[in-house]
Amino acid sequence: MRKKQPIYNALFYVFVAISCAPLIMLVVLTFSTFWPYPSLLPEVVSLDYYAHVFIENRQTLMAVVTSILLAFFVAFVTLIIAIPAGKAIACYSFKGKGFVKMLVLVPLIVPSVAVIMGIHVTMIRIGLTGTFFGVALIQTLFAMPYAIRIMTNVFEIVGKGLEQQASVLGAGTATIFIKVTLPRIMPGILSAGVLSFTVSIAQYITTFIIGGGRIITVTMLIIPHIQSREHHIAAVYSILLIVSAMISLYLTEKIVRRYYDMDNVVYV
Amino acid sequence: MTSMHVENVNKSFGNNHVLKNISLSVQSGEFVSVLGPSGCGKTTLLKLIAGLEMQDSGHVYIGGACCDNVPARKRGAVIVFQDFALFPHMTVKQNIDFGLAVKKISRSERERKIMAMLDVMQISDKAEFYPRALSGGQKQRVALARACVLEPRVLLLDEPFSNLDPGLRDDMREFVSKLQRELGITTILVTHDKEEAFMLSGRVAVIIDGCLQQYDTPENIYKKPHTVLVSDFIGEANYISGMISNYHFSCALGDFDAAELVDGEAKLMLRYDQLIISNSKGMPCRIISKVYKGNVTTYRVEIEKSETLGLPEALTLKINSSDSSFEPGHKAFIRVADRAGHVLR
Repeated sequence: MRKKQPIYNALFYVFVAISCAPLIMLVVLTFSTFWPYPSLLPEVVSLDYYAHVFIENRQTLMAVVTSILLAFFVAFVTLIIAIPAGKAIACYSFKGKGFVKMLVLVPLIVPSVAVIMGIHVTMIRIGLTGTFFGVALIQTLFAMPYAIRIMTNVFEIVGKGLEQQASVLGAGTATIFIKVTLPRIMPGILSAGVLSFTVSIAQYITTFIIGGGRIITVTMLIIPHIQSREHHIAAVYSILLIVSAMISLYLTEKIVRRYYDMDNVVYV
Repeated sequence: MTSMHVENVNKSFGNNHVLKNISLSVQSGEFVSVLGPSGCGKTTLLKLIAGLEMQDSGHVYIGGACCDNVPARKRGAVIVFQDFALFPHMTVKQNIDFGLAVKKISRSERERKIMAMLDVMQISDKAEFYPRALSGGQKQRVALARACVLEPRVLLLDEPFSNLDPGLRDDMREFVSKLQRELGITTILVTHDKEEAFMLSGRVAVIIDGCLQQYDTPENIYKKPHTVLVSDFIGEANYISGMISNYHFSCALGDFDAAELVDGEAKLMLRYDQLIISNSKGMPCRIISKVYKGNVTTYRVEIEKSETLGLPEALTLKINSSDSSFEPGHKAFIRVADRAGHVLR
């Protein structure tokens, strides 16, 4: 921020404040044991809800672990598919390319419940319902459009030039991918991975239907509390989810940046 | 040292017939330029030779062996691209090492070759720099070093000087020319800049509209183009219609030798600097306009129609002269410079 632009400066902080307000509310909510209508601040503050979540509920820790593992797994599977798919869409010309491009976006356009219900029947038949893998698979479907979109753009920007250069210098396909392509697309992979991770973390309806109550993620714990008007407890779970997701992503980026020289992707 | 030739090569992208039946041979150690306007397919030709694109028909031979089925990485034809294509995440040294590392040469041998090449390119002090910290000329030296260190059988240069500042461009041209002579690498340069092609290469292949128009020495390309198309691409000229009979071409400006052409209608090509304007000698003419350009002045003159000279209509010619003393409306005389004038169809 330059000094010459006080208006932009002000706007920037206003937007930050607007974005943060609900989060602040969420935090306040978790501590306020008694907060009747007209009072501006909670009248009784305690850690009762935290105690409920972390001590009384034995499922909490397992749910956090499931959520994070599921999100990492979904990001991984999504990337495995999205990297070659993005490369193909960006660099190669083939019959029906426009159709494929549209098909990739379909999970975003068609209401997710419709998609899930259709797949549900098939998943029951092959016995994937109620399994970690089944839930991961269905979540991958919803993470895919974002990841493929990002990877396509990344490959369009990176282009074929360096790979062609590497091949005339005598390198084979594997060497080119590891030594030339991968370092170039790493920021894109990280962005696509983070987005897939986030999509997975936020899923409720997919986990609910395909998981059949056997795969318990943090969102699965939150919704019943909202339905029974226990907003305070739901707030604690939400905070827990946000914090654990942020720690996971932060650590991932730290690890990746050890090996690849690149600009900041997640944190500006 | 390796010769290279392509034979009847065709290449289309969709409905766009980019290369039409091109045949070209380059001798061992020769420096050849492929010259043509942008979009004439010259970069495609380079990519075919390197193996980055596959021709629809025809063959590519490197060192006498057909390499249509040899993948790019095994052809030994290394391209230096227009944008240099340096690997941005590697240092200068790592960039140069890239092709050597793939070849599985011992580390000490690689080190020795890299150091020698850095020295040749005069960039020894930049070995540990990343490409983003280099200037245009230094980037190009790295790109050249990376290619030359592999001792390629054929070195392919794709418009290598067009991304450089004009002053630097001349330096790099001289540098590349010297380097090529020292290393003796068979080199093909692709460019749209005729000066560059003339300056650097022993032979120039002119490609226009996907066809090889002429493959000749720079001097012949300039003075004795085969067609008006080539002549126009190389530079401005006057064209005077006339007839050939008995290997002699005659027109209003006189008779010229046309030993290589059969009888019939033809044109005499005269570059603007192949006509001489004076106060006394030659054909009388009237000056129509004058453009002063400093070292030369371009005049447009008109020779009046005259049945006796075989001119049914007035003839307009353009002349470049170092003498800027003639004024529009005045009379003057023009003549063709000694041994100038080339007859073409």
